[in-house]
Amino acid sequence: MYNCILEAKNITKSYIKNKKILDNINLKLEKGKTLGIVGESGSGKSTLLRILCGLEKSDSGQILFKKQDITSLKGENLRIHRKNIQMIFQDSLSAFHPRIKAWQAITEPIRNYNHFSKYELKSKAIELFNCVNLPLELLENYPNQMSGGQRQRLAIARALALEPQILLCDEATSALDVRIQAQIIKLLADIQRQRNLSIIFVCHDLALVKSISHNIIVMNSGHVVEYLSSDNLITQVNDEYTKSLLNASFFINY
Amino acid sequence: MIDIKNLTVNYEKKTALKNFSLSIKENEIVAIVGESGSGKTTVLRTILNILPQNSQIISGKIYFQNKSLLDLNLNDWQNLRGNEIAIIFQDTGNMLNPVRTIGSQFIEYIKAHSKLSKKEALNLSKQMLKKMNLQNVENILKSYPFELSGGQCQRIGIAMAMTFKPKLLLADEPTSALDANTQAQIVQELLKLHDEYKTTILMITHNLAVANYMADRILIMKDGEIIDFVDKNKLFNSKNEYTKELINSIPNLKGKRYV
Ligand SMILES: Nc1ncnc2c1ncn2[C@@H]1O[C@H](COP(=O)(O)OP(=O)(O)OP(=O)(O)O)[C@@H](O)[C@H]1O
Ligand SMILES: Nc1ncnc2c1ncn2[C@@H]1O[C@H](COP(=O)(O)OP(=O)(O)OP(=O)(O)O)[C@@H](O)[C@H]1O
Ligand SMILES: [Mg+2]
Ligand SMILES: [Mg+2]
Repeated sequence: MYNCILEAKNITKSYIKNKKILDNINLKLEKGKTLGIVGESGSGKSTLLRILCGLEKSDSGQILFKKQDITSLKGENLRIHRKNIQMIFQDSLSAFHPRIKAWQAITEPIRNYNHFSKYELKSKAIELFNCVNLPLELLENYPNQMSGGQRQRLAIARALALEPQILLCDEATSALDVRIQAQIIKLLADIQRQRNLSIIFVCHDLALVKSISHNIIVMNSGHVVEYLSSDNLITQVNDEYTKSLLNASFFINY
Repeated sequence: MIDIKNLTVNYEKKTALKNFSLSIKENEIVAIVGESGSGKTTVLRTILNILPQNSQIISGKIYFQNKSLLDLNLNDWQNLRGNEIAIIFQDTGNMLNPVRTIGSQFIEYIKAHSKLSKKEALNLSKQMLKKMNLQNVENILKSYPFELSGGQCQRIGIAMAMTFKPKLLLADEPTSALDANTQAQIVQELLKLHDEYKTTILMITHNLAVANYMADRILIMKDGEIIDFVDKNKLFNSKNEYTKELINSIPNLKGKRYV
């Protein structure tokens, strides 16, 4: 049976009059599955994710979480709901407070919802560091004292800390070398299997998206131009824009 | 063109670069790939003299056109940065001033490094942005950084760095936030700069296919050291274990699925 955990219905958004950044977007995320999103730079992917996790309001349309409309949640209800959906932001530096150390930054969300001793928090931080393959020598560093890819792993660890039901990944592995990237992708897939985690995975690398996703949508200037299933991706492609993405990729021939 | 000799750089007690040497000829394109945290960005920061407070150059020398870069004063740097050596940062979004429009920052950058009038600077900035496959350049110039997408910010950083046709271009993950089409176009623009103005390029990328396509030589880094280097189109013949592991991890449309 198809079990939809998150649904977007007719989402529309503009920042300036008559310039729709998102134009009537519809999508469904199945529980325990991954939906990949690819699309042109500036096509509205990050804006869509911010709307899905309630950080930004759409002009019209609905977001349903387990069939319940969450579009207008406020106050305590919104705070409790936030725990269900975690987002990993495209820009990892501005996602962290500059004066909070790495270990504190990733345990901060847990502290907001539970009571733990400092010792418990620190062991939780160590566990999370190991999980995303971050060297423990970085526990006491500030975010700007880490490399781009290390900070990105810190953001992944923070999002996983709360054990959300839905994880929204916005270019969450694009600053990683391909070996560590593959480890992180495997980690996400393992957590998905263990906890039935649902994931939306926005990324420019179509091959990587295919490796982690069950279904893929392609976006171009505020529209969804194609819905694909990863199983037979290449043979399904109809849309001209998607074809151009396939052709433009620097594929490795060896 | 640039000669880095036995460079060792620490952040507090941590050694980020160990005895790193690299010599790049004029008009060469060199790519650095390697592990996250291996010291790639540190190499570029050291060349451009923009290491953070808590760092220390323990030993080494850097020569750029036979000038010793580690011995220059502020005034020398003012003349060198932008015109002779330019950099594309790993996270352009954070290098831009959040409370000023792209237009005012771009114009100021141009005026700081040339004698152009404000109007000429505006025209030049438009011309540069158009090369970046950006739609609606007028709007972009009026925008604040937070109003732009990740890939739009990245392309502004590339446009700025290319403005003065520098002799040496340092590029830190210049296309990591770009879709395949835009990436292909930016790669062509970088190659055009290199062909027409003989710009030497030192580029960091996690995209091995882009490195293999663009670079004359590729260095592979791990733990602060160069552990392997290969010539153009020889990447996939490397015998190094880590390099082979990297190659096997490249996502592939016909490759491994995790779900
Ligand atoms: N706060 C804002 N105010 C005005 N315009 C905005 C704002 N945020 C985003 N935009 C515009 O909305 C469009 C979509 O941006 P978005 O960040 O969603 O794109 P994206 O698909 O994530 O792109 P990328 O792949 O480059 O990250 C862009 O043209 C951007 O300039
Ligand atoms: N300001 C700093 N203070 C302390 N340590 C730092 C600082 N900047 C970088 N480091 C450390 O130095 C090492 C090298 O960092 P660098 O940014 O050069 O890596 P990188 O190869 O560019 O990695 P990435 O591919 O993830 O961007 C990392 O282990 C990092 O944690
Ligand atoms: Mg984005
Ligand atoms: Mg770096």
